[in-house]
Amino acid sequence: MRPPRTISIVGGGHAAAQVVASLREEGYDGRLVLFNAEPQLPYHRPPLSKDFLKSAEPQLKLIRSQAFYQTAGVDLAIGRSVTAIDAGARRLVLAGGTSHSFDAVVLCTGARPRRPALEGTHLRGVMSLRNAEDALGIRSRIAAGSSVVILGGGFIGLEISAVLSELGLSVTIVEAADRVLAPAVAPEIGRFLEHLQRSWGVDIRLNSGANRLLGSDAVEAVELADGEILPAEMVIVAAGCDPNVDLAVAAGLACADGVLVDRSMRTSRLGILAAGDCVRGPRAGIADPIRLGSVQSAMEQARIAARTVVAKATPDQAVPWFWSDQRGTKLLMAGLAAGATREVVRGNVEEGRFSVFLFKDEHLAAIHSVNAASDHMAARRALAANLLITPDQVRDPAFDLQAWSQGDRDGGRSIQ
Amino acid sequence: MTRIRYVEPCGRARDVEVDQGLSVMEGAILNMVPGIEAECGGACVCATCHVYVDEAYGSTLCPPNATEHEMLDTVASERRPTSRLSCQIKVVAALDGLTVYLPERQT
Repeated sequence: MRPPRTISIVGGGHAAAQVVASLREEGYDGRLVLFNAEPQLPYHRPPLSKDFLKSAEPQLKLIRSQAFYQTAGVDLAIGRSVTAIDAGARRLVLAGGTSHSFDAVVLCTGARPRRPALEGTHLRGVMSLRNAEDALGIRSRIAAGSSVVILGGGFIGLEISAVLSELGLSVTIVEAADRVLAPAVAPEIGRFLEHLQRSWGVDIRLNSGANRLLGSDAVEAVELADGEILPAEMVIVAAGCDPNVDLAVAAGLACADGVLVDRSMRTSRLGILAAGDCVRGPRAGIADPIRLGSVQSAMEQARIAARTVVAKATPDQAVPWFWSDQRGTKLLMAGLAAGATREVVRGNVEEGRFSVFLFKDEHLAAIHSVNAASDHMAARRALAANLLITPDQVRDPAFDLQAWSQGDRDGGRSIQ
Repeated sequence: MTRIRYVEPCGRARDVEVDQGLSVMEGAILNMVPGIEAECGGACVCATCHVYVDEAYGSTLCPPNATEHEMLDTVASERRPTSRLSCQIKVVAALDGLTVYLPERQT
């Protein structure tokens, strides 16, 4: 198969920026066009729920500079929405009706905040957070002393809560489960963060839910399922996100809560690939394809997609990892915890410096760490190498995790 | 603007003018200095923006905090006394002329 001469990238997040960079690094020298519906170059999204909300002069951190795209010879179609893909004719249709031919296209359309079916979500002051515009909207409504209700105790909800409570807002988190960060994070860590947030004055309502949002033009309150009314000048819906699959579905690509891809990031149609938060793909050791919403996964998938386009072999998948930051408390996660049957704690929970090792039967599946970066990095090495560790070793402070992760089976405790 | 010199493992040097308030890592990314990955964008969680700083500037730099120390234990190339994560070095006037040496690998 001859190499493609025009490659289009649809999207403007981490995956899109990395596909462009990786294609050039892999030696692709044909035409590259980046179609980004957002009005700016791809930028780092994680700071939007953290520093960006509180800094006096918020600035987007570009993933790559303008100069990079120029030097790399990328045609930037910024602020241009793709409205349809004609897979047979290999054409993108743009808003306004013009079309654009491609030999290959990489869909990096990302995800969007899930909007629960709830009366009143159309009211002014009902926000969610995904992009720069959303973050600016939340910023513009920050006023010390005002009340905000966050619907959802996941990563985004907790990160926003950490910032807004620090800025003097009165914050209530409404969460349906019996703990925060369920089911993604080890329960021990969920409880730790719940206590931490409460120590900042955040009101956390577990096993709770919103009935409807009240207000005439702007939102004024949240009515909970038990009838209680929580006054709110702002409501932030942080109830997870859904992959943006509309383009793919309309183009006839196989989708199932995500654009389905193989391990080389190919969709069901020749010449169409996908990467990032919009995809669902296979994972070694897991029966069903999964959707991973993380920067690390987006970057990895982008690199793989680029290699596939230039007909290079697909490397093995790295250990997935993820981080969250709440007022300086750093949560680091490595591996996939789904289906874990046992958790073992290492370190000191009271001092806020510990890790939870999650086992699936005998095998280590994931490690979630609070303020324990070295545990996390050891975990990533160990999970990649499939190293064995026992719960007793995990609990043993004299067991040297670093030595273990570098191949010393006994963690510095050699047995004669 | 503050001038930062980035030296690649092959010895090739690049002088870059970096806005104060940005990090040494951002100076590299925005000016396409190769050899710094910075996968996490400066959150001090990935250890892929490792550099060796010129010893002459040792006393001018704020020392690494506890998190950076831990992350430095995990860098892909050798950790030396001059090792830093460049996302944690804020560019200030006193650093004008700082030289940082890039390691062989970041991952």
